Amino acid sequence: MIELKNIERYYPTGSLKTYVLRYVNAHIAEGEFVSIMGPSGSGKSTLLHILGMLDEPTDGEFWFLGEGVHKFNERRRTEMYREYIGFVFQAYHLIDDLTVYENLETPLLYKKVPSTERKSRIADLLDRFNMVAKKDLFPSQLSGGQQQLVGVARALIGRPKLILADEPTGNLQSPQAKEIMEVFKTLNREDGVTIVQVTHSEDNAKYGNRILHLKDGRVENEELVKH
Amino acid sequence: MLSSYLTLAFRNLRRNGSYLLINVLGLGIALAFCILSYTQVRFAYSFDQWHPAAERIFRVETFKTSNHLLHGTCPASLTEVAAREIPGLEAATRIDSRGVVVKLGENVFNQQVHFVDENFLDLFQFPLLQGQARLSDRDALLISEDMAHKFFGGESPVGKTLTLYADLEAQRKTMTVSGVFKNTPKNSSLQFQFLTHLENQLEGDKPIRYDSWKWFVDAGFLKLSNPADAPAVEAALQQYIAPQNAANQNWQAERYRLEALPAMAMNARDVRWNNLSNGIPPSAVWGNITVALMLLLTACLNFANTTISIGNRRLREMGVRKVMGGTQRQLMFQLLSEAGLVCVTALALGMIVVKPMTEWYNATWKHIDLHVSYLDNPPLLYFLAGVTLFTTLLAGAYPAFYISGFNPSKIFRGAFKFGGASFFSRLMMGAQVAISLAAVVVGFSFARNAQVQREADLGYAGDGILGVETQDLALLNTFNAAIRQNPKVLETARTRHHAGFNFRQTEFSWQGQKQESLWFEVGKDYMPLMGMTLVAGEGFSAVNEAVGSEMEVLVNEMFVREIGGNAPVIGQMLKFDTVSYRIAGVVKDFMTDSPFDPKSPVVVHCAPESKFTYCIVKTKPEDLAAVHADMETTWKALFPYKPFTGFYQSEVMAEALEVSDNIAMTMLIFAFVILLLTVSGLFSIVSLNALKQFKSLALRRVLGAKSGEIAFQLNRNYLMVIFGAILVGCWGGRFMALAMMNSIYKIHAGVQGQSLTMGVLTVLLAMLATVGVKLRQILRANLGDALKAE
Ligand SMILES: Nc1ncnc2c1ncn2[C@@H]1O[C@H](COP(=O)(O)OP(=O)(O)OP(=O)(O)O)[C@@H](O)[C@H]1O
Ligand SMILES: [Mg+2]
Repeated sequence: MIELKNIERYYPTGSLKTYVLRYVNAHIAEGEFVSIMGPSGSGKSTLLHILGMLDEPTDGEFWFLGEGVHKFNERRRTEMYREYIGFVFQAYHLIDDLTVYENLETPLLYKKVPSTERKSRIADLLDRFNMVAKKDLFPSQLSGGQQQLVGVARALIGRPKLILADEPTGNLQSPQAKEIMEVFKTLNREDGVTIVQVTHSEDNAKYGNRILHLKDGRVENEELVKH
Repeated sequence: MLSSYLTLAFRNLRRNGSYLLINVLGLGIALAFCILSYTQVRFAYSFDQWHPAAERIFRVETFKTSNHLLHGTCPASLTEVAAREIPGLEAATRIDSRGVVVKLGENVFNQQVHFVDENFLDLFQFPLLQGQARLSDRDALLISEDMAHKFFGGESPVGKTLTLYADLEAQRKTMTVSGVFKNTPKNSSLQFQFLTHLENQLEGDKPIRYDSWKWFVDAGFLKLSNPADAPAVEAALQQYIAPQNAANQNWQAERYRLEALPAMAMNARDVRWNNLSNGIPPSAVWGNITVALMLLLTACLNFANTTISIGNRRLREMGVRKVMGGTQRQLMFQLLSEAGLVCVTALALGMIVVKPMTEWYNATWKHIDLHVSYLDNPPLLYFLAGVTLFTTLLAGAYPAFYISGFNPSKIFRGAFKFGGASFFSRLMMGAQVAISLAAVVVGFSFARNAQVQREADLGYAGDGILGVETQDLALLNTFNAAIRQNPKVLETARTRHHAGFNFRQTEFSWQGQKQESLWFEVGKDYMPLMGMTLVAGEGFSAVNEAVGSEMEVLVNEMFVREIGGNAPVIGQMLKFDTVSYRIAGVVKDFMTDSPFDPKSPVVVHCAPESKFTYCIVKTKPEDLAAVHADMETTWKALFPYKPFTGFYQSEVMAEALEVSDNIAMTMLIFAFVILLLTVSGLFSIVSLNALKQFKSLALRRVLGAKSGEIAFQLNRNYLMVIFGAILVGCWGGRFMALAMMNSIYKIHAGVQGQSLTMGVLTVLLAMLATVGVKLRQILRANLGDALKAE
């Protein structure tokens, strides 16, 4: 599904180039659950942003589902967001002025999903996440864990093939973190959704099947998780 | 999708109350003024168009041979003859007028009476409220609603009688009111209070010969079967140049011209002897539009600026929406629909506010009568829809583009640079300051103009001057003798013409060339009494009461400059008709009429007593009112059949002053509104800028910076912009004020340095105060909190 070849990302600092990512090669197959780990500043978020097409590598090739991402224009990228990719953020990033229900509805509106189907999909997810009672509340009226559940639900509602999560549990207490991780695991196992997450926690990383260790912008080693 | 946008917009606005308030108020007032301007444009172009046959009615105007100028008058028999002889003409009608003394019981009034053909009301639509038209009845009189009220109070006037020509025994005529017509609308070139048949226009004791080529009527109209025939009819009319010129040696016509009724009022200002009323001055129309646009622009800039400054709260939402599959275009549409919601709310406010505004406007400008109504006025509704859309785009497009354009990766990293200090937003700030300064400068310039006009050197001593007018020399002399008995009366003088009231326009030959000037015929005591001074030569050497100063004239300084070519003119001759006059002296320029009229070359001639029509009275300024009252009592005691025609000389300047005062007032109100908007915009921008720099400012204070340095730090981005805005604003304001003054007045004070200085000071002070208030908040804030914040 994802093929990274010699990915580089640098920022110009004065006349020098500061490399944030260098010689990054990776292959992620459909149905994998990959965790990215590494010290602060090692380039994890940068890599995830590149995978999410929010940022572009300064060099190297990025193939997504067999297509070269460097050839994508704005429209194609928007299509990717609508059809294939879902994001989960550390800071949840729900839209404050929308209720839980409306937050979940937004991606479907962009996807032009018909109203009856929207209703049934949202109802399903709310049910699955035990949030039916909360559907008319605003994000500020939810706990952090609940907000992140909505964040995950929102990422799922468009039925993406790939979920990108940057420290999804970074702001949460461990029981809530565990709940989110369980959701990811089920998604991966039962629905076959590919997941790439950035995490600082060994425990969370173990939910996946593979761990990429990043250091100073390079993939230092890869570790398969034994279950 | 749209409904979801609107829900969101609504919630978002509810959270930002003061933002909403400022913008709805600003845009609302601006839109209200757009509605007013629109209504006024429609009013200005609605003159005479409401007559059902307007398209087919044409006024016959005449070019005069000697100066090629267009005159509104028309030979009395022309339209009648043309209607008989030229094919394609359905009807002809004429209107003429004169001042007539109208008497009811003990009350006598000078009234303008209009004389028309029988078919006048067939061509023009002036609905009757009571009675019948009966214009064919020579004893019937139609009066307006206002006159019905003035003469008869609440009673029905139909069937009652009024005496016309009450002051002239030979002509005195009792007429029966046959009907009352609705007051002529203000968007009518034809304005009248009394209407009767042409034959009631008398000269001496005989009706005027309206079948003669010698007499001119105020206006002659032709009704064509087909308006497309107008060029052919106009060509055919030229055959009547010959009979007219043969009959009237003194006034040679060059060419007749047809003016379409709907276009008449707009062109009336270029027509001499236009005895119909003029339309709205074009300057009032475009001045208003300019102001409306300035207001709208300021409100839009303010809207854009404040939208951007609260927009940083929306950035995260924008980023999230993008990664959920929203395109920038969709995001822009969302933000624009929010702007649209604000504009529509503002429009609702504007549509309400414009009502009292129109009332104020109508009260300020007496010749204007605007009505704003919506439901029966589809063009206005289209206009409003258009203007609201335009405003939404103008105010919303840039912020929408700006806010929706951020790269989500940067937003999520929090690494964006944002808001207040961006170049564009400073530019918008500058534009606002420039616009408000321009408005302030125009306001101050007109206020100053009013003041200058009030104190202007008229070239005569206007203080303490009163007068009375009558065509009857015997009365004039009787009155003159009587009023001189009043010890408060210092002097009196009799004269034919009187500065500010009347004069003649004449042509004469000067060194073989045709020239034109104003011609004042005065009595021998007139110039000394008026305080007009001789700057060269001598006064009239000898005055014979029977013939005046036969062969001598004085000229004014303007005459010396423009006609005399600055060469010595004393002793030179000018030839008028067959008589030659020697220039004896030069008088200082004086205001011949009012500031609305140009300065012109003037010839002053000492007229014989037989021509006198004015008795001018001089008193001490503090006795003015008392003497005026005594003049009225004396007059009424002497001539019960004559309306008292007394006046104060100050009336000459009154209208010009009122216009100046009104414009100054109007402009200062606008300036105030615009300034308020600008200041509120500035406040929100400084807040944003301050917020961004809060931490660094707090640090600086901890490190020992003084308030002044902090103020500079906070505002240095704006100093250059404001400097530029001041230059542009002064220039723009000066340009606008001059353009307006030039189009209104022929004599005005221009834009003086002090108006510019005061304007700049006012705007700067308002801005400094704003920044000051904000700064105080910042400097008083708890330093610890500031450092902890973020
Ligand atoms: N716009 C930028 N300009 C210059 N350097 C940048 C920019 N954005 C990120 N960096 C640098 O790139 C490096 C990698 O950043 P990144 O956010 O990917 O780290 P990370 O591994 O996610 O760290 P953390 O675990 O703290 O989130 C950092 O050293 C950061 O300073
Ligand atoms: Mg990171």
